[in-house]
Amino acid sequence: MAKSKFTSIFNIKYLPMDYGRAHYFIYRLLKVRTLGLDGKKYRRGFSGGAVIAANHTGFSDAVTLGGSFWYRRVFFLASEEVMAKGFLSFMLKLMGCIKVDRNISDIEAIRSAVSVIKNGHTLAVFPQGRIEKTEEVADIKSGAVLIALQSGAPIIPVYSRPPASKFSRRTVVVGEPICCSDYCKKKFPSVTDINNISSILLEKINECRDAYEKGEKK
Amino acid sequence: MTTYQRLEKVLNSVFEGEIDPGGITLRSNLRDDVGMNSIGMLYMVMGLEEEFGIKFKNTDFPELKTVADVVACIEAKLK
Repeated sequence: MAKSKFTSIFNIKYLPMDYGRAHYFIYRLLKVRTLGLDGKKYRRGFSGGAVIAANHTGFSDAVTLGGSFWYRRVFFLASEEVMAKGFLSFMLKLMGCIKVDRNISDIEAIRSAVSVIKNGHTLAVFPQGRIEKTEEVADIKSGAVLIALQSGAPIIPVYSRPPASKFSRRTVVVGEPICCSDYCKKKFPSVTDINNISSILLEKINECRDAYEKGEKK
Repeated sequence: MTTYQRLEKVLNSVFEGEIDPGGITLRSNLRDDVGMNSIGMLYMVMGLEEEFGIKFKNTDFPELKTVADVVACIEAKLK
């Protein structure tokens, strides 16, 4: 049976997420401004499945990304420590969080993440792997690239930081999508290929940071 | 091609330039001899899933200590 536009907009399975998206929309209006690299308002630059790779400065990053991309269903990879408690874990799962055990090779989490993207949704990943309050993004892990290569989806680099004042809106800078297939066409990408694409992603996230700094100085 | 030969092909492709192609035997320890860490294990397993059309579970990983263990695991899944 062909998927109708109605079922892609309204799907009872995603009702909790869509309820959350309504709140994200309001949060976005009040507290978030999303810009492109040129400093102008970001126009929806991608369709279909995608991986959003953003820096991680605090727990509010997920809500900020949800606000910036409120028009998409955004799933998140969350560590096992965050999703350990019973009721919180249940709620986070309803809101689209996929549990990842960072201490093992969590192939099942990767598979769930790839499946989400292949269904045309967006997956947000924090490639630093932990909260880092530094301004510059110095190092990232290769999980986001691995997921993007497996799913064939583009990676959207994003940079954001909490504003200096609690009353200011938070700026999110979205970079140009990275198509991994431009950098690796092999059936089995090698470790070297994945590390190369990860370096490019790191560079693009820092490009977004430079655009962010330029915007804040104006 | 035997299971071992196909596994060797995947390992050589995934770890191109990082491991000595002729240096892997059935007895090779994945961590000590092949130099695999948890991310490397993930890369290898994803390549094997693609090559053999099988699915690994998280519970399979603690059993995979040597190349022979990986071959045995693949053959068990193919049955």
